[in-house]
Amino acid sequence: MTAPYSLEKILCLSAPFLLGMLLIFFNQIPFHLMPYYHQSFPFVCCVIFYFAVFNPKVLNVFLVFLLGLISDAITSVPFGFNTFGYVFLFFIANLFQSYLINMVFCQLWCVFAILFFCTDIIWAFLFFLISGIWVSTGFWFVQYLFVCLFYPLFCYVLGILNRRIQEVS
Amino acid sequence: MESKLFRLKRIKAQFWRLFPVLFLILALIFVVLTMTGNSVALRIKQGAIVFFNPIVSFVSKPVYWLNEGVDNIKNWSLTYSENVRLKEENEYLLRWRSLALELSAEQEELKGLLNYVPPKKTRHLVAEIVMDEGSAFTRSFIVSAGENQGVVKGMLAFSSKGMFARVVDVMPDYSRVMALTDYMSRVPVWVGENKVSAILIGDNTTRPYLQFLYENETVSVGDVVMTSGYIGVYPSGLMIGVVDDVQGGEARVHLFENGEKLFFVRLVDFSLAKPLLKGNE
Repeated sequence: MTAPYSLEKILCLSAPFLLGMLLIFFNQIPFHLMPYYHQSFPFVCCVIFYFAVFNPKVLNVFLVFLLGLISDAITSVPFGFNTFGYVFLFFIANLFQSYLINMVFCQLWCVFAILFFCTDIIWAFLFFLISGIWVSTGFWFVQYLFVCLFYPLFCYVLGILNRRIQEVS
Repeated sequence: MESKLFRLKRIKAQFWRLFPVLFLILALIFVVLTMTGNSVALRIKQGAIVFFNPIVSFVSKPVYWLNEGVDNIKNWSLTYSENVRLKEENEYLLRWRSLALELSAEQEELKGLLNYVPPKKTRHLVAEIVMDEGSAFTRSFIVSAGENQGVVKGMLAFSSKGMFARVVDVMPDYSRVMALTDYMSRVPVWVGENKVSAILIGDNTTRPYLQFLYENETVSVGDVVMTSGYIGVYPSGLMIGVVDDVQGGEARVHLFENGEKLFFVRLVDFSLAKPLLKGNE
């Protein structure tokens, strides 16, 4: 009886990290279905923000750092580029966790939008420092808007997952 | 004693709260290392692609099937109009074929007269696009051919419509090709019949722009853009697009191929001499 239970526990505890990894891989799939030029969306930021606020023990800073490194490794951006953004998002969300955890959903959504905006600005600035080019605001805005719009959906799914994790652990 | 313990606990809590700062610094160090061309960082990147590619390929299979299905439906609905267009194109090409044969015979004769030394033959291979790295910052692809299949850095990637990317990184079984539309892409080109020299600069949109080498140069909509061969990264005379918008001194180019909706690429080695450049460009 113990073995399946522990397997479920391991699966549940590693689910946020695996989900993050899956979202990173998902970004690399050549879709060709979008009406616009291919764009990838860092939905993994929703996962990082959610667990930084609600359950930082299962997706801690080390795992976030690792997710960033995986993302950097398989894309052509310099090593550490995405990692910096992910860790920044986690750090700020985790720093104000005590305030954020008591917020209602809409307030939390707004905080995510602001924090993700700051992360995007940091990425754009970092990219400018590296290449001397400012990123086109159009692409940047589409990326930002999509991730923010999908946040409620992720929040709902992650909420279910987090409840399961708390039940199991 | 109690206050001391309490203070110690508070310091400990503060330390753990600020612990992510260490990772932020580490990330910045990684960025600097990659930018300085550290070979270890590059090897880790290459190793990660080799390691993660089977997972990405597995995850992307349903998407491929979906894409194929959508393409098939689109093709069925367009069969009639496409057939009419192809017939017209075929007639037009047949006229050109006879002219080409005539010119080819004439050229062979002239070459014989001049003791002409032909250029090196090109070498090419076909590879599948396995990862699409489009984002707000980059525009590149991972293709399923690498050093073991004979890919070398600097090979150009073609689709049936034309050249659209260049190999910038080679791994044992995979390569990374950077599209002409990438932020880092710079291609020396000639524009129009007057061969106006310019640099085609990618800005991650489907239409890169031209930066002219000399002031007061003018180009017009419809002018053909072809590689000039300066610096030696690209051979000269490869047609890559047409000017489709000129506004306030800025000209935008419509590429014959922008790398969108591609599954396979043809990698061509023009055996050019090594350019006197460092880094990606």
